[in-house]
Amino acid sequence: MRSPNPPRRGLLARSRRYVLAGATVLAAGLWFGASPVAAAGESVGTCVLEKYNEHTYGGQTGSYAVKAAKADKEFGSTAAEENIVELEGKLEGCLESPNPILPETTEIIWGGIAFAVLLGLMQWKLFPAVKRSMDRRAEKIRGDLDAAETARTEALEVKASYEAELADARAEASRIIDAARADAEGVRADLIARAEAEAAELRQRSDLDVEAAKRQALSDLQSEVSAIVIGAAETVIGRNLDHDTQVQLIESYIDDVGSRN
Amino acid sequence: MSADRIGSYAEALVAVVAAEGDLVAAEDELFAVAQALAGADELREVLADRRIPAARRQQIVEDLLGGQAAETTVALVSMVVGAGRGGDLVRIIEAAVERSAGLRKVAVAEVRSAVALSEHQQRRLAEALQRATGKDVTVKAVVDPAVMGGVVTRIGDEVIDGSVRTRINQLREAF
Amino acid sequence: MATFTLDTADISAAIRRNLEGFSPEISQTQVGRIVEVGDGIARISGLPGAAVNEMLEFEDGTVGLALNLDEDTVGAVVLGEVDDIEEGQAVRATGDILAIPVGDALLGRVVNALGEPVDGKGPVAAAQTRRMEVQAPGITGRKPVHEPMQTGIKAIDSLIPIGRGQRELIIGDRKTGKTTIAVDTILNQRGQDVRCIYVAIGQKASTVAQTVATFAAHGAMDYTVVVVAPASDPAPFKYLAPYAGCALGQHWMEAGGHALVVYDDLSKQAEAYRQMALLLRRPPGREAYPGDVFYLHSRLLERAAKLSDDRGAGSLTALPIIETKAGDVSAYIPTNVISITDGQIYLQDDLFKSGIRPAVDVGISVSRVGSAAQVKAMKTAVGTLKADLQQFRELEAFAAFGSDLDAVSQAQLERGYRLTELLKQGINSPMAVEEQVLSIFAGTSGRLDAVPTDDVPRFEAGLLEYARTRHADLLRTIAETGGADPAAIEAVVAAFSEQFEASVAAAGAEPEAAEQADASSSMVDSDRTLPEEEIDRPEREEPS
Repeated sequence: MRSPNPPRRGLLARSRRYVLAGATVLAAGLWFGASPVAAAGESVGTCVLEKYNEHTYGGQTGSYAVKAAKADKEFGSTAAEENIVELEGKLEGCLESPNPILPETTEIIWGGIAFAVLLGLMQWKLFPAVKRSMDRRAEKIRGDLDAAETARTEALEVKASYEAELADARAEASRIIDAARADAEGVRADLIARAEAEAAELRQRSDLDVEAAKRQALSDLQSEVSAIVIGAAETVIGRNLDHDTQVQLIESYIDDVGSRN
Repeated sequence: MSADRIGSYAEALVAVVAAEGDLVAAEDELFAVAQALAGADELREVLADRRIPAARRQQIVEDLLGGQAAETTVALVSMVVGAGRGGDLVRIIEAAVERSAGLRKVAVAEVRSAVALSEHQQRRLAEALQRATGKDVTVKAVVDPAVMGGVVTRIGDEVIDGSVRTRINQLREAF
Repeated sequence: MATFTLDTADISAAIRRNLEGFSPEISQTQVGRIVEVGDGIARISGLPGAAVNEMLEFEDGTVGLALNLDEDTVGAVVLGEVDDIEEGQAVRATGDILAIPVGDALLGRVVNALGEPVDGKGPVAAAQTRRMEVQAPGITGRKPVHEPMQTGIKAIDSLIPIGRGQRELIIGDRKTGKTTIAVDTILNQRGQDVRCIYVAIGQKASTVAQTVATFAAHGAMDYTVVVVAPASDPAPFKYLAPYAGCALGQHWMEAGGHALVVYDDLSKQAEAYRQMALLLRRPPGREAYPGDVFYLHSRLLERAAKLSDDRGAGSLTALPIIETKAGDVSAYIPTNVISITDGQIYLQDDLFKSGIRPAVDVGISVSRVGSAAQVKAMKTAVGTLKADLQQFRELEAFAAFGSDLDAVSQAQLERGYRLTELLKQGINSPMAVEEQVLSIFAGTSGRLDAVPTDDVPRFEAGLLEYARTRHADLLRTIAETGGADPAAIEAVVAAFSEQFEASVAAAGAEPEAAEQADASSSMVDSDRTLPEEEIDRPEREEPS
């Protein structure tokens, strides 16, 4: 019992390893999402299952499976060993997987047909549409370019006019500055003139004050002097009025009074 | 003191003088007293001083006027001083003289001159004043050296000024 | 000045000339005697021929004025010291009615109520004299007031315009700026060909000296005479001073010129007159004033007139000042003078204290004839200013209660604050009418609405500076013709307004500049709010 068991066990272990590997790859595939590895893992798994079924049951269910089981019983362990070797070979083939570059013929045929149909469809519908939109786009770009060109020229014109205006403004500014300067000059002159006039007025007024003070002093002096002179005159007259003069004065007074009415 | 009171005293004085007789002589005497008083400030002050007893003041009057003036005059002045109106004496006497002259229908002309006027001059002046004012004038002459020369006559409110003093004063004002 | 040699030889020659051939040229005069004397009043017996207002001469040369003519005495006021006048002295009637020297020779002088100089500048060389008391011009001699008398004060020239020949009363409590208004008005007459007379009655001599110094500093003495009767003068001088001032003004008026006389103030004259009347034993009436106190002022103020073209078209404008006690305008003297004058400028103490200076209450101040004399440009600028301010006052009272106001009322209130700010003015800084027009226009046209209230003085100063430097022709047009295109004024104000807003925006970015501006404007503020000179303190230095 031991002898047929190890190869079997070995086969089982090996296939289990393959299954495990496949599951792992599948899991990884699932894990990493749809990817070429997942596709390969799946195809290996499918292939192994297919080959195993094919090998064990002869590719058919029912009679082939019974015949195989009979054969197992008939040939005993030798037959089983051969069987396992054969299965191994088949499974090796399975591991070698489909050629990644050259697809299977049917696939090429179907693919070709599909391609032709698709190409036809595209030729018929898509390409003209794409071409139209491309044309439109080209047209639009051309238009944009033209507009840009126009805008540029316009901008140049505007720039020119701005420059002209700027020059004008500069001229105007300098004119205003000149005017302001003239104004300021005028104001300055005016202020100076006013200050001078004021100073002259002050001078004149102080002159007048001095004049008035002089007049006042003179008039004081005059009244002083005249008071002294008159006082002196009074004394002199009082002393000089002799009796004859007195009588004469009285006589003339009497005459004057008499002639009054 | 009010003009009324001066008037009353003057009235009384004139009434006494008129009763006594000679208005003109009394007028002249009273006038002379007034002039003397006007020129003697100290005397005037003493006569007006109520701190001195009235009898002493009356005695001063009698000492001064006694013998020089008629008794009536002395008595009248003494009466006014005794009544405590010594301060208004001059004005009372002046008012009395005017009233008395008024009784005689003449105006009093107070004539001031630097030298005394002669009788002749006084008479001529009285005539001249009469012509000028149209009233009878009695001249009361006063010698006042302050007049310096010429004459100043006052009749009531009117002053006829022809004095050297005034002339000099005018001159002083002109300067 | 002509060479003036003082030679004793000349004098003695003159004396000799006068004395040589001296004959007693007789002068006949009336003399009276003083019955009693005291309190500046003398009763004189005699002098039956004396006339009212005749000058009397006392023995010491002092002059008196005969006022009461009784049956046998004359009541006279002594114009001078009574110390040397005694009972019994003689009094001479001069035969002259009280007169005062008049004419251009008095310009720049300070004289007393008798026209004697008191400024120490020598004698007055006046060619003419004129009686102090003369009848006012009659109806046919007058014509309606039509020329403006610019006071230079915005609040007055815009709202209470005064015309040449008008009598406008300035009334208010003590220290409310009455004198300032009068003084500013005189300062503003510079170059206007208006001669001014400032009559200071019963004021402190130091106050008068200060006023004279103000005139001199502003060059106003060239066209001004100051008649002064200080508090220390006897009552008769205070009584006479206004008549003396009026006589001076009438002289110029009748010569075809324009004159302005300020009586500062007539309440003190009335008090002096009351004193004299009581001492003269005239019966006292209401408030102890004599019965003719109305005539005292009416005959004085009636002499202000605008003469007809036949009489030379001269004018005499009178600005009497009356002081009220605690705002009582219903006292005797105020009611009298209010009824005589052609309008009043009321000054309110509370306005003054709240910083509105001049403290003119534009609500109750009126000018009865002046609006005919306002220049056209000013009329245009003023527009509805008075009504606006009136509404503002009412609204302000509401706003004081914190009530919510609608947008229109709020706008009115805001404008009112700005207009009030605009009408403030510094002392001794009268403003020419053309500048006033611009200022007032800026306010009434709403150009100030966007300006913060505190910035109004700065805006105004800027506007005037702008107009002076850029649009001098516009100012000249207003000044010369009195009218101007409102659009032109609008344009100038609008242009400056934009510039100002821009500068404010710029100043916001430069705080330093704004601070400087603030500092300068606060300096302006402090200048503006200088308190009025005290004139009402009781006289203490008077020796008694």
